[in-house]
Amino acid sequence: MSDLVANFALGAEVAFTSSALLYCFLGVCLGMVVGVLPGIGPLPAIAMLLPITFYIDPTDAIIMLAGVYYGGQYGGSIASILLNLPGTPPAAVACLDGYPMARQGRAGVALFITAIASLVGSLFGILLVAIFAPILARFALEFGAAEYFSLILFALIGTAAIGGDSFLRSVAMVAFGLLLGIVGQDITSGQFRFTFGIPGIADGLSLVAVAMGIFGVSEVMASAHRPRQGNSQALRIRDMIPTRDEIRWAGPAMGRGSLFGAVCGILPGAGASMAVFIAYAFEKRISSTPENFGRGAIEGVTAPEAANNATAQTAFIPTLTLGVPGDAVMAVMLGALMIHGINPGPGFISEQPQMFWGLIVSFLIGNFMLVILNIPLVGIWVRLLQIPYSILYPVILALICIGVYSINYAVFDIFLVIAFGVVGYGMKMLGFPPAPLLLGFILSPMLEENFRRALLLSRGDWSTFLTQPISAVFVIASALLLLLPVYTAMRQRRSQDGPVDI
Amino acid sequence: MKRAVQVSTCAALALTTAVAGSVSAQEDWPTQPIRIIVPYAAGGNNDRIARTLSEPMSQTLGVPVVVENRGGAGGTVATGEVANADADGYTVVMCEIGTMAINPHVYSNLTYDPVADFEPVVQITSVPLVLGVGPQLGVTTIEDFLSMVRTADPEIAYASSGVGSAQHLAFEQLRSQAGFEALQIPYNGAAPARTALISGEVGAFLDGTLIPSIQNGEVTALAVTGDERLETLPDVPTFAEAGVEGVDFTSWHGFCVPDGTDDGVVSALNEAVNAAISQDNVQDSFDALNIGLVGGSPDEFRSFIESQYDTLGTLVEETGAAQQ
Repeated sequence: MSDLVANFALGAEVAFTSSALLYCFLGVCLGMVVGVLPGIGPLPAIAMLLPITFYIDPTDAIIMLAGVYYGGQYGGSIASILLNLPGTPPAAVACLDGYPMARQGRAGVALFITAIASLVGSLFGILLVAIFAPILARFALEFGAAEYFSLILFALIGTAAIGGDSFLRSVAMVAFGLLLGIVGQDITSGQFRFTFGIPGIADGLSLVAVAMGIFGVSEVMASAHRPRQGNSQALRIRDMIPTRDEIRWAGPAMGRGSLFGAVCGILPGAGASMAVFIAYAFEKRISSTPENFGRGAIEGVTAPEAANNATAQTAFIPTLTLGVPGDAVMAVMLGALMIHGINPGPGFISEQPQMFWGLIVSFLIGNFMLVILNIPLVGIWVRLLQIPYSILYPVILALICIGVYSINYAVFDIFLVIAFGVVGYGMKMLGFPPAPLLLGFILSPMLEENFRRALLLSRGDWSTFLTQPISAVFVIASALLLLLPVYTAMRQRRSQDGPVDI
Repeated sequence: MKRAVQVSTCAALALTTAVAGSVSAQEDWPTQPIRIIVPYAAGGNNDRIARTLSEPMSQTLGVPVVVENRGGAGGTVATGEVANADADGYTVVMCEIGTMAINPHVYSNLTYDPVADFEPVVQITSVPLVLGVGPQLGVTTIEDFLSMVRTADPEIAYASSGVGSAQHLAFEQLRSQAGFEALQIPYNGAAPARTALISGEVGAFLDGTLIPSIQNGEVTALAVTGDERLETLPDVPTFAEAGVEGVDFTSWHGFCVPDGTDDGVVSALNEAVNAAISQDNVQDSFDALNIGLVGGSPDEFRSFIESQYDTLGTLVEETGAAQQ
């Protein structure tokens, strides 16, 4: 324990220098801005900042880049809540309950509670990084192909029912999403599938294009015939505070969300997009009032928010302690470190204690900076709703197009986003929920890749999913998840029918 | 009449400026920012190399040099776009072994010819590949490894960065030269493959980005491709020293511009890159990334590309990595 205090003191020395504070502030501000703007996310921002980092101290550089990364997770849900279009793909889940809350005039509460949830998620993640980083990293290495497959199968079964009221429609959309995820080059065989010779989708449909199209562009299209809504009163502090009941529900939800987020951050490849769906679906399942979900349930907003921030923080664990980046953003940060001659790996914490602990303390500083920035800004964000839609929505469309283009400088991606906007609009009109589609789309490539790789490695032996202990746990859990409702339904039916008449 | 004179004078002036303008654009190159197109997403080696060189180059050339990432289809989308771009010297593509020598044989619907559609500018790097094994495999020398894999049942599983990647072809070259069986486990890039090696999911990985993991102790290096030992790994023999001839696969990167670019522009770019490579801080950055710098003239690069195209074509056929 005293070691921890000493380490934090060391980190504080590094993180409280004026240059570190400045870069931290710049990073989190920029991160929040790119998080709010639909389409543009932390990745393009970090890639563009990379050359600048060559000329500044490596610790300051990583503090700034990290600030952009976790700052982006604060801002993403603001547009989700206010306008029903996400700022980043993980923020799509915040639309489900955040936007209904805004429609009920409770946008201030939603924005406030998500800022707090983000802080809680981040703090939980930071704590894990500080205390358990090497252990968790070693644990993550135990996850091979079979384990990933079983975990994702479990997640898929558990979350398939998140979409609205109709179970059948939700599952149908998950299946559609799974199919969309197959498009592109298959890793295991190198074959191109469903690409029709179009180079733009040879690597698969872009996640940002699909998410922004289905959620963002479709929302803009749907609003064209919707009457102007929302109140235009100025926001008082009182309006931001949730009721006592809401705090009681939201608090534990934040805790559970943080847990899921942390797990997904530690496993390379899992990521925030998966974490938010799992957190939301879990809340819906264990809630005593599941019918509230989709209509403004506060747990549905806080759990995913806490999850995506926890993921952003714990994603540093495999990156720093193993040198294994969990996603594209971490890969860029790894590159930034390596160019300075620093090689993250098992010895990182002991060889570079100032950088590691300085980074951790700067995470704390950055998160508090973000909360202090966000809370007063809630009033300003809510006033966004007062801008005439005729100005706001074209600007949003332009931002989405710019954001999607900035990923690969490909005009094709813009066509893709428009096409998915039309698809999403059709889904809205027909009453098909969009969130399960995104879920299936995200999970499908990982599910298939790991399934086939597990079988490759076991030389075709199917029992590998049950002989590997971690995998077996998740397979059995999936089976239980599937069979339990069937069993319960059968029991209910039997007690209703009574003795059978001949 | 007066109006007609006015109009025709304006037209004549406009034409003169247009012609004069375009002529002076060529002579005064560069007057606009130069774009280096990296045909992969941000975060990989191509990216780091381009960004490290962009700053010294812009100082030499006097205009900003910006890097654009345009990932897709193993780098072929962006490379094809540059092949069809204007040959005005403002668009440079980061070309490397994958896009120029391997993928043309693997993909059947390529939109460019790597030899005919480009003017090579300069070869930047030559990266030997290191054979790395995880500690779980229990071997520490190449001799032990070879005797183990020749008798292993089931055959050893090795990681690759993807079907048809340099790492895949290189390992197949090793396999056929050394005479053992191996099963390829493709991953989506070098980073997941490295993770799999470290965690013990696969037994071996032949790659150029393993040195940080080797120095961390997570991976054991057994041998290197190429003619000489690496400075950073002086105790690791080359494959030739270890008795396996013919495993000479090295990865490489360079700059190319569209075919038809003015020779003067090509030489100016070549000189700027060679000047950048000779700077100390640039060399230090590349040393930190464990990438060997080459440099040289456009013609040297041209003959290198052509010979690599032929050599790797044969290798792709032998390994059957070509798309139907």
